[in-house]
Amino acid sequence: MKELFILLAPRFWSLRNDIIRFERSFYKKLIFYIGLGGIFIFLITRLLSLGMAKLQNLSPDVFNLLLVKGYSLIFIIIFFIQIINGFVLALNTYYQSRELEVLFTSPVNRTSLFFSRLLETHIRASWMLIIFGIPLLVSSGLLYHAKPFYFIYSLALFLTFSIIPVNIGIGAAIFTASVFHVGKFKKFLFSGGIIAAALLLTLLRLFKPERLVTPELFANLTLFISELKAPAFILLPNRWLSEAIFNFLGKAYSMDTLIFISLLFLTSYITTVFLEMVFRRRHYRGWGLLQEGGVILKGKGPHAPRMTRFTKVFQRFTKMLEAESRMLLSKDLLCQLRDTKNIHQILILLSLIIIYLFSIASLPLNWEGYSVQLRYMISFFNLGLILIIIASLCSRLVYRAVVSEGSSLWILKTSPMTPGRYVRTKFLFFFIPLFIIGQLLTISTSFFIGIEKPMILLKSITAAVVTFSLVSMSIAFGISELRYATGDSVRDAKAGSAIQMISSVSLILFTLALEIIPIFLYFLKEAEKAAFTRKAWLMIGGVVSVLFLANLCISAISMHLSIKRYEKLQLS
Amino acid sequence: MIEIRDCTKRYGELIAVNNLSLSVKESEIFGLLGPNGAGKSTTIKMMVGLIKPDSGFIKIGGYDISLDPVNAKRIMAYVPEKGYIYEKLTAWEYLTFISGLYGLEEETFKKNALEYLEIFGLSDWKDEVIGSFSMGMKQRLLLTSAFMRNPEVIILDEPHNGLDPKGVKLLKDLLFRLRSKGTTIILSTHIIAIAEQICDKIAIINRGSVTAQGTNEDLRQYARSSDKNLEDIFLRLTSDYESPGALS
Repeated sequence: MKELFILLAPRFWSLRNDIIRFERSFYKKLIFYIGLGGIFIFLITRLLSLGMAKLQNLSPDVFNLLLVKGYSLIFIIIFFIQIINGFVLALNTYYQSRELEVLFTSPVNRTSLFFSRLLETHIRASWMLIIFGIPLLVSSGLLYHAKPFYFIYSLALFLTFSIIPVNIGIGAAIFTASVFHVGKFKKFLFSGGIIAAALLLTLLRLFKPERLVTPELFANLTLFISELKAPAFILLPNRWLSEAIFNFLGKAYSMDTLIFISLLFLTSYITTVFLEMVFRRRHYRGWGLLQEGGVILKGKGPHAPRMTRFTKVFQRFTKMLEAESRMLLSKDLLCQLRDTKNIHQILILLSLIIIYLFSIASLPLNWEGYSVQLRYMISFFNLGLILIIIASLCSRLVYRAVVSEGSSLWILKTSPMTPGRYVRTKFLFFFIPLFIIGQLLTISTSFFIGIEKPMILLKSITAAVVTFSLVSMSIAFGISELRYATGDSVRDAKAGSAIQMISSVSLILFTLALEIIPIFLYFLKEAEKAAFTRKAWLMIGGVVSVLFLANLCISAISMHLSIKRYEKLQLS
Repeated sequence: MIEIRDCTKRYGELIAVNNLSLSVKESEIFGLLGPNGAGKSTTIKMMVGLIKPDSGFIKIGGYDISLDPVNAKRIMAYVPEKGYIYEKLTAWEYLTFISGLYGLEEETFKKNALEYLEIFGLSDWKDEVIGSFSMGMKQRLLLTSAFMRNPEVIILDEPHNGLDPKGVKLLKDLLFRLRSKGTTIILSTHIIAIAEQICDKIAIINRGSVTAQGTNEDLRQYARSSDKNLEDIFLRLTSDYESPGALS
């Protein structure tokens, strides 16, 4: 027991030091989380209480049934979320935490070590209980006008209930870590999660959920919920918890209530004992696996690697460029493609683009009398949205990539590559894919909306010139934030990212303000079935010229500033 | 081969390098020796063009690093103390990238890169991403990327950091080999024994200025000392820094 206290002491001491030394960042965080959490808990509790009171007034008989079923359903959701929570947290607390090296090499009993880690995992997993548990327990207590003892009783049961899924999660993590390398598995989990989320979002949209929103179905909602087979199997802990709570609230105590309470405590105890056994048998194996260095997979002997298909294709496409630019492009491409954060962003982006295209294609544009009006209005906002997508991509990819170069910039700065070549190559690298995305979105959505070819051409030119400016602006902002830092330079440059986004949005608004004129003229022409006058042509030509000139100036200034700034950049 | 004349670099109130002048001949191993914060790294960063001097000039092979940086950089190689390398690239991709930046012929690159990868024991790791390398392996890769180009000037900032004893010995032998081929080498170090063994000439830098420079013998005479080793001369010349008197 003494060892357990020693193992937990650094956590408590750190917390105590933060409190008594008035650590500003600690207090800032504390106020932020307590404030935000407090507001959230208050709002959810209030909302639940109001909703439940309304339902109770509608039909008291059905309400009791609904309440138990609803709580049971929420508890089973919490149960499964806590399993995942425990799993992810255990990978850190039992394997990747930096202090583990010190702890595992100390002459401390492994049982004490296990329990100290277990306690830490449970404390770290407790935010779920605070955020969702408190509103659930408090609102039901308020509804039944429960005495203060109820809150202690329900909280104790809820905590006991929570121990079970977290223990299952930890056990699964220990078992998995004994088979797979924790670091790689965590990356796989994260990537898998992102891919699943992107797929789910896309599928949900393709499923057309708006078809289901028919008012007639709402009449039978209560009936539907009352018929709902919420997971209420007798051997599931969520059933034990909901029965124990509502038997108490409804003052319907019986032997069953006592059995459910005993089952909760007994199961949490048994899972802890079982978990300790799993820890003893499997943990050391996983820890050992984590300590192993990288494995040489290929490349035996001193021969030059063969040229891959990717290299061949890349070399063919970049043949006209100088070797320096080609190498910088190749390096950027490999670094960007191998950065899992970028892959995740690209996946989410792809999913959003599909959803966006599908939404535009499914718009009901054939409203009698308003069809032309609607078409041109949507076409106008569509252009704005596409430009915002390009601006966001510039902020997330271009700006981020330029700023993150800070830590390795010494390589380029000490090389004979000129600042001009550096800036131009960076521009080329980002402009081409963004230009293609912009054009694909503009042309395909215009086709779906059904506007005339000259309008599609105008929108396509606008998207191209604005993309040109947005990319050059992002590079200029990125270079102005370049620092020689070994830390997280991207995180440090968040203020610059905000300014870059504000500037981009300003440019988009300016462009849209100009675009109103030709779009309105075209709308008039279509609505009145008339031909363009010379004045109208002049106005359209004037707008396009102003657009060209403005974007040309912005791009030229941005490129010039980028080169000058890069030239003057000192890496001290 | 290298000429530094009256260079000064200030960071606000702090004078990091104060009116520093140095000259290094061809085929010479020149050591910059000094206590922490003496201005060695700032001097090196000015030489390789990472920072610009507030006054004075630096010439590498006759090219002014401020006025003609492209030509100056083309003939030199720099290995920083803690150089971040692109962790997502494999060792071979990184070397290919460097060869492209410096315009190396493909055949020369392949031959030299493979030779130095073998020398530094990285042949089996050339297709692995740099992110999985240890600190010593990264340092050896940086040295490979510098040496494979056969530069006229090599500038090394604390090159022994992170290297194991075998690596230190290997580096020493390589530096001697390169010197015999006509390469000029500048290295900064705080390990006096290394400077004493490797360097033809040494400059002792303290508080941003050169306190003394020359061969071991020159320094001994300058310090008017009969001390046999460089460590005693170094401590005598930088006596305001952690002097034995101050400790007692």
